[in-house]
Amino acid sequence: MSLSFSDDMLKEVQRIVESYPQGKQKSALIPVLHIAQQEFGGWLSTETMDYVATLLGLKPIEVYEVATFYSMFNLKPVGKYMFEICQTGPCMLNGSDEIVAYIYEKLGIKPGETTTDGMFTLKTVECLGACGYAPMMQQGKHYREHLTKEKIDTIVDECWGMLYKIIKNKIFPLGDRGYMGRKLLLEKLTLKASGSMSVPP
Amino acid sequence: MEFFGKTGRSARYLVVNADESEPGTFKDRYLMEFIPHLLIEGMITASYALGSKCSYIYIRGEYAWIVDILEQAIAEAKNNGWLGKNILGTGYDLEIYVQRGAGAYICGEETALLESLEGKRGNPRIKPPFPAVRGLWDCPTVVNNVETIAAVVPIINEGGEEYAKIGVGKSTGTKLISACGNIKKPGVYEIDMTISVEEFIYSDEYCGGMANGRKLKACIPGGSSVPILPANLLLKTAKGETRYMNYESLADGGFATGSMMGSGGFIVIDDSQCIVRHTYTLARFYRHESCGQCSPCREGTGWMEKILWNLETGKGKMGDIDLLWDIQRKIEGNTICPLGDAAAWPVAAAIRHFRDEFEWHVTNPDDAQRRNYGIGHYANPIPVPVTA
Ligand SMILES: Cc1cc2nc3c(=O)[nH]c(=O)nc-3n(C[C@H](O)[C@H](O)[C@H](O)COP(=O)(O)O)c2cc1C
Ligand code: SF4
Ligand code: FES
Repeated sequence: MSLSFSDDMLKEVQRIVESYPQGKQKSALIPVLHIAQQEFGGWLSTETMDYVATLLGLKPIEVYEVATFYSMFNLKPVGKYMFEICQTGPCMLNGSDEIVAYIYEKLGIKPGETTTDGMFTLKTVECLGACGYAPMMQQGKHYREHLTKEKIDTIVDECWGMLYKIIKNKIFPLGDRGYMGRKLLLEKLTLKASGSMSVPP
Repeated sequence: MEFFGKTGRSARYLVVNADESEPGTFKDRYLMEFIPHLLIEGMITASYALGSKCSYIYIRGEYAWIVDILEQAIAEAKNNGWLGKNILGTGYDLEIYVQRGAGAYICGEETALLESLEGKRGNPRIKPPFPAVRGLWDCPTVVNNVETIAAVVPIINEGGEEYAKIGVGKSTGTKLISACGNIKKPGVYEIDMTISVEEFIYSDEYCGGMANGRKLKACIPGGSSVPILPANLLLKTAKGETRYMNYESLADGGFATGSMMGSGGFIVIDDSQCIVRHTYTLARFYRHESCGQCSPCREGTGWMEKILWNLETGKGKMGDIDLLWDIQRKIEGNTICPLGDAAAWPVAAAIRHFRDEFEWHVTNPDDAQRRNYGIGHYANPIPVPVTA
């Protein structure tokens, strides 16, 4: 098995399993799938699901049937940053359709698609329980509310900024190295058409 | 509680339903995000009354950051000795855990929630047995909403009688209303159920009136599953009496001319909006969220979505409206859990009250692509169609 959680994550799994009575560790499946998805590239490959099955002593099918039921689990690779736009009634009344259209205009992706550089995925989702702050989306762990075109611009820039920081720390753990360093960084950032960025999480 | 399993030896559980996914509803989020200790205190009290030594909060997966807030509140309670072993020296032990879902409206249905908490797909169970007899891991279990459990605190502190003095008739206590849609001040409001709907929408203390100077066209007063009402029937009942924000008054007139308090998700729709499109988004929601166990729900929700999409995009036929009516009637009451009804009611009510807008989409397909129907005559009483 090539995949495995870090020791910290294994401790976290242990903590979760202990919140149920003895022998009921199957209950830990959904929380552990959340961790697995976060740790292994934002989606659940068969390999990841098999690893979770072994970890919790379940049959692989028990994991597959759960992973396919819940909409937060991605069964295909996704971009580094995912925009999950709510499109249900109350958000629609406040212009969620225009936000989806604007993202298409700006990034060239329709719902379900990922930019060719593997940076952004657009997903439309159903009511996220933030109807009063519409239109809104989920981005990572948090909600972004009262969306406007300008706010989408800011969020996209923020994402690039976050990635820039991650790469900078990976390539230059000791700090920026001047012009050549920035050039290298730019090359990395424009890695197009590879389907997914070869950037470690 | 007589209903509760009398097994004596076996464990009992309290599970708080924080799945909150009914479109228009975001009140539990407010409670958990800003006053989590109220929920924890309510849970400790309720768990003690039930004799539960281990209680869970099942929260929708998307509220990831709220999990941290709740866990911190739990840790604080533990540090103060209000939770954990031998609480305040009474010999009573209690642990509270937070469990995250992963995106499924149906897991708000109590038996689907328990399945999900057991690490399975969220397929509702057939009742009976009810959770109070056989629930989590086959043990007696009580499932209650966040707001319900939070209300335990004032009820215990003030006494039931005192608490019941708030409100009117059977609508005692306070209710959280999450208001959204085309209003000036969307948000969560705690009301005492004596105010009128008109006051709630227009007064500055609450929604502050319609946004952008628009007119009120329609409203779904209790979350997406309850019947939509046109402005005229929303503000006054069919008998011409003022409609109030309480259980009885909102339900006055039954489904023909009334609606329901439901989850308190108050969705206000202005005259620039299209009822067909709004109904379509709800139909799509229920198709997406159907667990697929019962054919009427699985197939029916898909059909309703397709037909409404055709109507919305100008490809509908006159017969489609009756077909929609027929499909929703065949779903209602023929399914394992109430999601089927919840999917049928909004479609039924939209046709019942806004049939002319549906027909306009068929007779003026090109117009329907360019503009919306407008307010029509919804401010005046309209006759109930024959099919209703
Ligand atoms: C399809 C469906 C979805 C539901 N979603 C929720 C929900 O998100 N939150 C909730 O508290 N109750 C929800 N319920 C109601 C629960 O089944 C249950 O009645 C409720 O948790 C009981 O709590 P209460 O008596 O405190 O209101 C839903 C019911 C159905 C049929
Ligand atoms: S009514 Fe729908 S959601 Fe409920 S059990 Fe049947 S198929 Fe599943
Ligand atoms: S409809 Fe978008 S959050 Fe509820």
